[in-house]
Amino acid sequence: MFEGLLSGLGALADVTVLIMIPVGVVLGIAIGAVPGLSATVGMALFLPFAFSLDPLTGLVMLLGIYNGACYSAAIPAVLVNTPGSPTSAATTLDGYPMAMNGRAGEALTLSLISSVIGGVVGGVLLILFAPLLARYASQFGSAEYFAIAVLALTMIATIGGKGARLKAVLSAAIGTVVVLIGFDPFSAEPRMTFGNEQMLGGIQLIPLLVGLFGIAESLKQMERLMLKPHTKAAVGSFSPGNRWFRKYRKTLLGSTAVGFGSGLLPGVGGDIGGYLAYNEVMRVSREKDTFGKGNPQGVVAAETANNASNMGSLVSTFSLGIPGNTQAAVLLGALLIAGIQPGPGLFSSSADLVYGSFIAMLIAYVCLLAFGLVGIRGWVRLIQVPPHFLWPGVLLFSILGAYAVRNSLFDVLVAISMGVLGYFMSKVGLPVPPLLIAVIVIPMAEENLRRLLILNGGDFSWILSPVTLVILTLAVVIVLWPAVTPLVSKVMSHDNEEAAPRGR
Amino acid sequence: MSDQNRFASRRGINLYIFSVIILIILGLVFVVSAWTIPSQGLPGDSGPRALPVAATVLTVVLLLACLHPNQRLNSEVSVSQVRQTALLVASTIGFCLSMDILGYVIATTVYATLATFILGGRGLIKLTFYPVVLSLGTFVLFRYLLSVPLPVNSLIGAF
Repeated sequence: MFEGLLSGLGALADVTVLIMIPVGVVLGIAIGAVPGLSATVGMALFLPFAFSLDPLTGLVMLLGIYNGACYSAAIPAVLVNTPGSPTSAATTLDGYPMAMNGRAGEALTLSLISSVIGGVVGGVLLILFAPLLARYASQFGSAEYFAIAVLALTMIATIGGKGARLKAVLSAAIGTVVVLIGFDPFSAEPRMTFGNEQMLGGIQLIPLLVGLFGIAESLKQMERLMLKPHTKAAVGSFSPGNRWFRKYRKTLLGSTAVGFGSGLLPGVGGDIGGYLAYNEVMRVSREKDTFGKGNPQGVVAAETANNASNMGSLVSTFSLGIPGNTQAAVLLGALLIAGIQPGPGLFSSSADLVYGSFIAMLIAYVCLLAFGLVGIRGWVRLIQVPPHFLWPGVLLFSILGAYAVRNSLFDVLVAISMGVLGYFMSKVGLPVPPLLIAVIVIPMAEENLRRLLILNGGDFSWILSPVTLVILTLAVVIVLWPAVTPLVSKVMSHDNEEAAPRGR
Repeated sequence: MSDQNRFASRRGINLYIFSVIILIILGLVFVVSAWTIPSQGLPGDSGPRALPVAATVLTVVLLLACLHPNQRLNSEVSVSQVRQTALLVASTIGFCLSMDILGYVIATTVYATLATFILGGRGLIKLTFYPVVLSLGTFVLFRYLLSVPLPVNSLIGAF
C-alpha cells in the first residue's frame, strides 16, 4: 500500500493534475449549490471534457466535482429547504429551521466543516479498506463476480418501502433493457437494434448519463419554474459557535462511522447514510425534542455522514468494479471509457491512478475548506441564478456533451430520448439510480454467468463454491427479509399474547 | 393573483397514467424485438435471447403493476406545463436536426432564444444578448478549447 501511495504521489506531481483538483472542486461547489444540479448531473455534464484529458487528470477533476457538489448541496438545503442533491436531504431537517431562526450562516459553516471532516476521515478509511478488499477480491473468478453483481442488484431492489421496492426493480429492469441493446457479447447477434446500424454498438454511456441526468433534470426543473417562485433567504452570521469541535466531536465521529459503513453497501447512497446518522444522533441525544426545530447537531450528523458515505461508496467501486452509488457509476463509466477496467486488478496495474485519485480527494477536501470558507457568501448567491437562463444553458451543455464524444448527432438524439425516458420515469416515481447501476452491473452479471454456463456445459455446480454460495445466500436473505420480518413479528406478538394470560 | 395561485387554479392533467402507458407501449415494442433474436447460443449457453426476453417481459409486467391504484402518484401538471415541456422537447429535437444545415452558432442562437421565451424570459436583452453570448461562448469553448468540430453552416461554410 505504501508503494502505491508513493506512486500516487508521484503521479500527482503534474501541474495539470494539480490544477484540475481545485477546478473540479469549484465546479462542484457551483453545480451542487443549484437545486437540481446534483453531483451526478455535474459529473455527467463534464464527463465528455474529462474524457478528453488523460485518465488521472480527468478522474481527479470528476472527483473534485463529486466532493465539491456533495458539500454545496447543503447550501440550498439550508437556505431554501431544497437539497441541491438527495445526499443532503437529511440536512434540510434541521438546516432549514436554523435558517428560519436566523442561523443560516452558522448552519452553512457547520455543514462545510462537517463535510470536510467526514470526507477526510472517510478518505483515509477508503485508502485503508479498498486495497484490502481488492487483495481479497483478486482471488475471485467468474462465479464470485456473478454473485457480487446479483448482490448489488438485490440491494438496490430492497431499498425503500413496499411501493418503492417495486419501482426500484422496474427501474433496474428498464436499465437492463437499455444496456442489452447492441451486439450480443458471445454470439455477436444484434439485440433490439431495430435494424439500425448505429445501435449495433449499444447505447453509449455518455449520451445515456447526459440524457438521464442533464436533459431529464432540465425538463423537470423547467416544468417546475412555472410553479415555484424564486426565493431569497437571509443568512446571518457565519461563525460555527464557540468550542464547536468539543461540542460536536462525538457526533462527527459517530456519523463518520455510520456514513462510511452505509456507503460500503452497494447502492446505498449518501442520502440513506445521512438519514441513518441523523436518526442515530437523535436517538442518543438528551434533547430529542429539539431535532427538526433547528438543532445544529442534526446538520453536523447529516453532512458528516453523507460525505463519509460517499467515500465508503468508492470502496466497492474501485476494488470490485461495482458502483457504490450513482456518482460512482459515472466514475466507473469514465474509467471504462478511458479503457481502464475497474476491479481488483486496478490496484496492481494502475496503482498510480488509484492512489493518485485517493490522495487527490484528500487534497480536494483541503481546497473545499479553503474555497468554502473564503467564498461562502458568493456560493450562497448561486441559488439565485435566474432559472430561465440556467436551465436552457444546462440543456445546451448536455447536448454538446453528448455530441462531443463521437461528433455524432445520433448520440445527441439518444441523449434526448434518454432525457424523455427520464422525464416519464420521474412522473411514474421511478428512481434513476437502480437503472444506472443495472446498466453497469448487468453486463458483468450476464458475461460471467454465460461464461460459466459455457465452460460447465450448462451445469450450475459452480454455485456451490463457498464464497459464491455465501454471497448468493446473502442476496436471497436480503430479498426475503422484508417479507419475513412482518411474519416473525406477527408470530412473536402472537406468542406474547398467549403468554400474557398465563402470566396473569 | 400570484403565479402559484394562477397555475394551481388551472385544470391539471395527471401524467402518471399517461407516462405508464407510454412506457408500456415502448416495453411491448422491445418485447417483440427481443422475441425475434435467435435463441441458439454456444453449447451450455442460455443464448442471446433469454435475458432480453426476461428483462422486457419483466418491465412490462411491473409497469402493468404500476397501474394498480396503490402505486399511483399524483403527477398532476397544468395543461400549459405539458405544452411547455412538449414545446421544449420539440424545439430541442428541431435544434439538433437543424444544426447540420444552419450551423452551430445560428441554430443555438435561435434555440436559446426560443427556450428562454418558452420559460418566461421577456425583453430584448434576455431574448437576444443572452442567446448570442451562450452560443458564441459555447462555440469558442468547444471548437477552440476542446477541439470539438461543431457543425458549420452548409451554405456559408462557417459558424
